[in-house]
Amino acid sequence: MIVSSCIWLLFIDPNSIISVALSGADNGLKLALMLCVIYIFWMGLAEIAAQSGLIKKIANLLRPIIKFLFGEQTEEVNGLIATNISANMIGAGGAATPAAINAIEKMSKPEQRKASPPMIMLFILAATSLQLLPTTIIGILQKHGATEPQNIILPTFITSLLSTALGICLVRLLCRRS
Amino acid sequence: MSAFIIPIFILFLFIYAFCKKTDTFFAFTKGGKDAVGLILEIIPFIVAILVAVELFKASGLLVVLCNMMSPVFSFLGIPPELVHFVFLKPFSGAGSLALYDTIVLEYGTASYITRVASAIAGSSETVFYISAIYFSKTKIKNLGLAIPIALFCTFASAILAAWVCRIM
Repeated sequence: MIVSSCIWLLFIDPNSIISVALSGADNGLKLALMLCVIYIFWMGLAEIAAQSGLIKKIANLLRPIIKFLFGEQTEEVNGLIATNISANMIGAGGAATPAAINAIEKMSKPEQRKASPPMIMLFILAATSLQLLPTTIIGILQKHGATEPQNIILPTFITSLLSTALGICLVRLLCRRS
Repeated sequence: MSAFIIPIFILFLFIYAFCKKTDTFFAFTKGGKDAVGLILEIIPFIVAILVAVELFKASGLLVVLCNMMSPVFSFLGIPPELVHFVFLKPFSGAGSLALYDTIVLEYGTASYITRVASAIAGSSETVFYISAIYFSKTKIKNLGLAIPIALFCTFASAILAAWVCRIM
């Protein structure tokens, strides 16, 4: 992606390459700082949920689903996956992402180079994001004076349900356990 | 209504933790400390991926791609006005939210185009961003079919959104 973009830019506007790349880097750092604040907040809350035992309860509720999708995993990974899925459903990506990073780290072996099917499954579930409550979208609609922003909840849920189901089927069909 | 869900959830969490006699302040700061360590580890990944995205956008290759795909979109039932949005979505979460904002402004809050855009925005994630971040703490470089499947589902969700919004 970088190579093709740079070659193209060499033809149309060679002066801009460095400035564009640096502005991308600048955006990256700003995004990282913003994420840092969000992660501190949500991981702080997630830690409270973990220490109070709430995560374990949710993980127990989701266990049959997690077992069906991910196979047998450790207690800790189950909890992280449960956090990731439930946070994604209410549109709290800030809580979902750090849980997924840790879950994937815990599932991997130190020298592993290739993603295993359970990791791909977690990634696809996040990418197709089953959405109970599109909080951000509703916020934007409200900002523009929508009278009934909740009308979007059902179509969004159905669309995300279908695309998530499609994703699960594809992972099951195409990604074999090695 | 939706504005209350997250605050209620947080309140519930604190009440639950209180009942279980958890030291909430200590737990919160411990989680926060982990978060800072995590961010320090993934900053280089975020910067690298955004440099790539920025170059791709600036090169105009995105626009070329959009123009080429417009007829295909009409054929599949996706409003051609949303081509740019559908293609930006996997690359940039912030960018596609900004674009979504302009779509709502331009077509109104209740139009068919806005509803399809909303369903697309809600039902897919920034694929390249999460692929960079989710695996950032491991040495895994080979994601197998993860990205092709994710992109296929993202695209399928655009078609599904267009169809679902037509009947609902």
